[in-house]
Amino acid sequence: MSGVLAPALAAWSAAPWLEAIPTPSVSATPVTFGSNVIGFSFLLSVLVWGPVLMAMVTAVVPLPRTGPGRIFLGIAFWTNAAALGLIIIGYQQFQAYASGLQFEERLPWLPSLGVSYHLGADGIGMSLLLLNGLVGLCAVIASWDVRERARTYFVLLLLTQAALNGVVVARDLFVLVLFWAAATVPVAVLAVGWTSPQRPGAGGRLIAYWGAGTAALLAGVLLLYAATGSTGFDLDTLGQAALSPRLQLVVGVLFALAALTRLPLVPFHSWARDLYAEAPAGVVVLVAGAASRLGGYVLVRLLAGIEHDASRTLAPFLGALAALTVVYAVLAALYATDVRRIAAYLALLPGGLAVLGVAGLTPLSLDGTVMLLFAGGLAAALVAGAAASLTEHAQARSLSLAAGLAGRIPKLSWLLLAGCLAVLGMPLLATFPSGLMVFLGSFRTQAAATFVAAIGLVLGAVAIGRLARRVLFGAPNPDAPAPTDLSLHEAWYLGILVGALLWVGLLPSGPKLFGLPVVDPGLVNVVNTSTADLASTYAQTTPAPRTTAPRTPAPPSSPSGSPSPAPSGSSGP
Amino acid sequence: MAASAASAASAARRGGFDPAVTLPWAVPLILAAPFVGWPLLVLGGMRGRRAAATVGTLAVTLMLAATVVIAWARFHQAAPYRVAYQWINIPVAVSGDERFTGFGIDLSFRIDHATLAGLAAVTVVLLACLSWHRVAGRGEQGPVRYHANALLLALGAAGVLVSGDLAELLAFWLLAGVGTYLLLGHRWGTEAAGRRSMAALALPFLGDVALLCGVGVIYSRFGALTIDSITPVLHGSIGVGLKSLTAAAVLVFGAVAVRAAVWPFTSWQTATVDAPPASVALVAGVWPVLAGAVLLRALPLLAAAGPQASLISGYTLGVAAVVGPLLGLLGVDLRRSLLLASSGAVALTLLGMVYPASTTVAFSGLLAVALARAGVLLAAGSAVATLRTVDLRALGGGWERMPWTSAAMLISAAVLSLGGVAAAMLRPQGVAWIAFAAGLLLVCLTVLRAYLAFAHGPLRRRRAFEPARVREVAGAVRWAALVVAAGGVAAVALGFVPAWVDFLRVGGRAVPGMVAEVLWLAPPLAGAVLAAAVLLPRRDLALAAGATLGERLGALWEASGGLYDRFLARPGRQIVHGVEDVGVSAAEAEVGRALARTGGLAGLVERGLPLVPTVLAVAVVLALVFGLLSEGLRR
Repeated sequence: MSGVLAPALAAWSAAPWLEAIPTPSVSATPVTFGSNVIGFSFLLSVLVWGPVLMAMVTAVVPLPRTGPGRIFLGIAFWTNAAALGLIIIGYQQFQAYASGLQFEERLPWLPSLGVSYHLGADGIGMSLLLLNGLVGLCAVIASWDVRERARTYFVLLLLTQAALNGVVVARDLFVLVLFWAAATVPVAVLAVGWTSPQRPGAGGRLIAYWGAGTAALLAGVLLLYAATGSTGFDLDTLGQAALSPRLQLVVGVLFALAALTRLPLVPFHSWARDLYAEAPAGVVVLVAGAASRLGGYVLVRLLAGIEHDASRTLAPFLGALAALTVVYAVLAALYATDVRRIAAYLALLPGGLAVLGVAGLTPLSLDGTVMLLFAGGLAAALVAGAAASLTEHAQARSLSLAAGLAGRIPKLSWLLLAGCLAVLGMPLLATFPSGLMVFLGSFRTQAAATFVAAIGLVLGAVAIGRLARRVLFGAPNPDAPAPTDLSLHEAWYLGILVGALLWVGLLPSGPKLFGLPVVDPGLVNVVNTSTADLASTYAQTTPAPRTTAPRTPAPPSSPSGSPSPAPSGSSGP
Repeated sequence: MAASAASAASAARRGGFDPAVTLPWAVPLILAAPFVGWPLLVLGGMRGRRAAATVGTLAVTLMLAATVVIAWARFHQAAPYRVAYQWINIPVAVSGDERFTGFGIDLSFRIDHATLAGLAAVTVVLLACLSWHRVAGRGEQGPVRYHANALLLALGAAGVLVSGDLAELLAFWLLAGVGTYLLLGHRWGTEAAGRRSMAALALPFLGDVALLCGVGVIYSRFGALTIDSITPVLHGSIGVGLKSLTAAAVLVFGAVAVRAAVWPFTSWQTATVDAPPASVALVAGVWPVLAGAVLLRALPLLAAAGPQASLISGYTLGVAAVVGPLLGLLGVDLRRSLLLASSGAVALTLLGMVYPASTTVAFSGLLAVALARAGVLLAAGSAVATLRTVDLRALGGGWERMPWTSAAMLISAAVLSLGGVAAAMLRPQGVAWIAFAAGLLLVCLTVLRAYLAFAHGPLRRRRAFEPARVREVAGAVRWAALVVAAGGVAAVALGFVPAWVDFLRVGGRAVPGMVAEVLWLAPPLAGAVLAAAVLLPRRDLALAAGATLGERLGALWEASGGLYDRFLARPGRQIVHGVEDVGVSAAEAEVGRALARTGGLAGLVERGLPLVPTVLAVAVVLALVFGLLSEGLRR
């Protein structure tokens, strides 16, 4: 393959208007699967613009005269499958334990403003690219039954996919904001155009919150740009600039606002509650699984990554918000009577725990946060998607009607239960090691918030127990319509999500043969590549040993009887 | 490796077989057997009850066989056998406190003699319950599902016992919790089933989260998760004081108490008595062993945490040992009475473990109590299924019609009554002797009340029930209960054997002599005499009194449930409704209106405001804002 492409690429590269930085030189490690398959420097651009190109193709391709109009689904499916394939190869080729960017591309764009088309992937970016690929494919499969305005639907899905990839790999903040804003439009149209007509507010809320978040992100980036002398928007350059604590705080608040509206956290969660409860399964999977994780990405990359003083100042507030989100979401789930709404509230838990990890500001908690963005995205997509499919098959959404389904639709029931357990962070699933890293890392610095979040998990178990009791294991309602179990495409997309959760949950460091990694370098190793550098600012110092001053003997009491001074010293903690 | 090579060489010279060579595969087999069996059941497409039962039983048998082989190999070795496989190992920071620059979780095995004893007890309980269910559970729904959940519990239980890493222990503990939840919520399709499943998830998860928090506190202070590396540094670690140690110790103890289902945490078991009898027996038999194993690991932490943690644990267990069996006297549900009575026995043995002198004999007693608990519940399950009632008032004639089941129940009752005696004989400190004395008496009284109600007295005719048709249960069913009961007898007896105490080597000493401490047999004997004196001549009156008191307690419980609903649940619902359905919408509407008004302002500007003054005013406002934000204004 490289023999065919090489001449063409050489000609392409020789063009004077294109200056792409080639990929890093091959390491000295033995040849692994996938090496030399990607022999060109445009992996990330392909992942960003490939879906855009295919969206345009989808928009113009004529409908076949005969046969079902499934061509749009086919284009979207194969585009996402190809993208996932490339991502997996890139992930497998990713050099863990090597700091710096990989698959880097740089092209000057607006030199007068200091804007460049700069893409690159580090460990954080790679893990989120993998998440986007998995979730994107699942979203398309979940949309198998979309017949209404299918062309528009799949065009918007592909554009969203492109924008999500763009945010994750952008190294220029101007480009990042563009992609961030670009993700808003197709998602908003999907929310407005394909949600239930009984609940028209879902799309409007999404536009409002995401718009506000975009404005906040833009304001923060511009402020940062102005404060650093307007030299450029490059992330590495801006990250090294020395800013005053006050300015850092303002920028940090703006970044945090952008992140919290996207994740979302309470009290900015109403759009997620409505969208996850009303949108079709494909939209829910994409937004809950990937689009919303960008909020956590901004917190890690921009707030914790470059605004160190602001991070330390805002950490207690973020911790409090995270704990509030966990507790409030499960309380709301406990009292909700709509199955999809309960799942929507439960899907907020991983986001809350991810923010707890950012608030912890320890190397371990930050590591755990990035892992939890990956695992939590899968878990949120699974629980929300399974609830959407279950209510569709049960033809009922209320707890009283959709009752006792486990005996009649066992597969969907088990998948919903798996999603609920994933959100709680049960072992064997990827949310366990990532959640554990967040908890262990945050206990030292945000003990109160971590403890409250743990209490929230107990309430979460109560909420899940209630859901399982009524919907799954309880007595069926004889007045409810007869349910049907999941169809093949639902089995596939939910199975992929469960499979990914199990794979990373069982093998976070990747499978090994005689000590050498095989096929998978291990998500935890890939993530740790960049978080170790990012978190070195927050490394915990060794506490100073407490010293006890030597006890001075009490002087003899004076004849007047005045009390003798107490001996000085300090007692242990 | 050098030692094992040397022993293998010496065995070869003697012409014998050195069992140490089996350790590299026998040790992982303990976890591998259920780990492979579970997906085989879930994904293997099995449909038949027998096939599922065979796979489940085979997996547990392999676990038992591996345990026996390891015990043979390590019989003379005092030190624990350790082997670890890396699961996560990453350098998280390049600078800072050395304890926190790396993070790792290992799949580590730490197998000492106490672990082997625990494994043996757990696997015997598992085999007995699976055998019981294979025959007596023929009518139960979801046979494949049942055995898959049982294997999940087996995997979790084995993992907890062999774990050498706290995070690993937590993972297996949670896994066992999931298996327990699915087992207790096994019967689908009824409202009672749904309630059971919720009770089996919510309350125990509180203990699980307590364990998570305890592990979090430990890690945040010591930067380590390996149990053996933490113990030597409990005292004298920089930045770690009594408060942290006490918090960690109390949290871990809380997890132990919840999962051991001692009062006041008994409800997750008593509320699920309608689950399949084998599930109830399995859960009731396995979890005390796991709780005891974790308490054993946590004893150095409890000791280092100072007097407060020891007081909390001592008082909690002391009260539980008395109140649990007392509550078992109220009400006439056979299974509930036995669960509450045996919870007192569990509490007594755990109490004995907390005191250094009696740790080993108490642990041995705990194993006996766990086995007897499973045995008595299996026997009760047989009785309930055959006599088609759980009401003690309607039972009777057990010895006449179901002698083997009655024998199993009697033996188990005896073991439950005597399980804590050895620990009591070692003269517990302080006021603990009161808890021991009262607890031993009450446990014996309550458990024998249930036994006497079933085994003795007339079996009366009821509607659609003919006493003459009552027969003893099938062989496998009766032997399952008898075998675990016999195992309990062996474990109790071994607690008095000094060689066994030396073998277990978890601290403490052996009972100096039965004759010297025979006075401690008085409380259970008194309980037995009291039970016989009350139940045998005045059975109906005694049981009617228990029923009345039980109804009153039930009414009190309902009333407290009403209070919970009135002061917690309903206000919570109103708060959530107020925020979600009213408050958030109102706030969003207000923001929207404000934004619309600013749009109106723009229209106003367009329509008639003078341009220059407006621009000047806006410029002044912006200048003020930027000025306030910039450095240097305030010095």
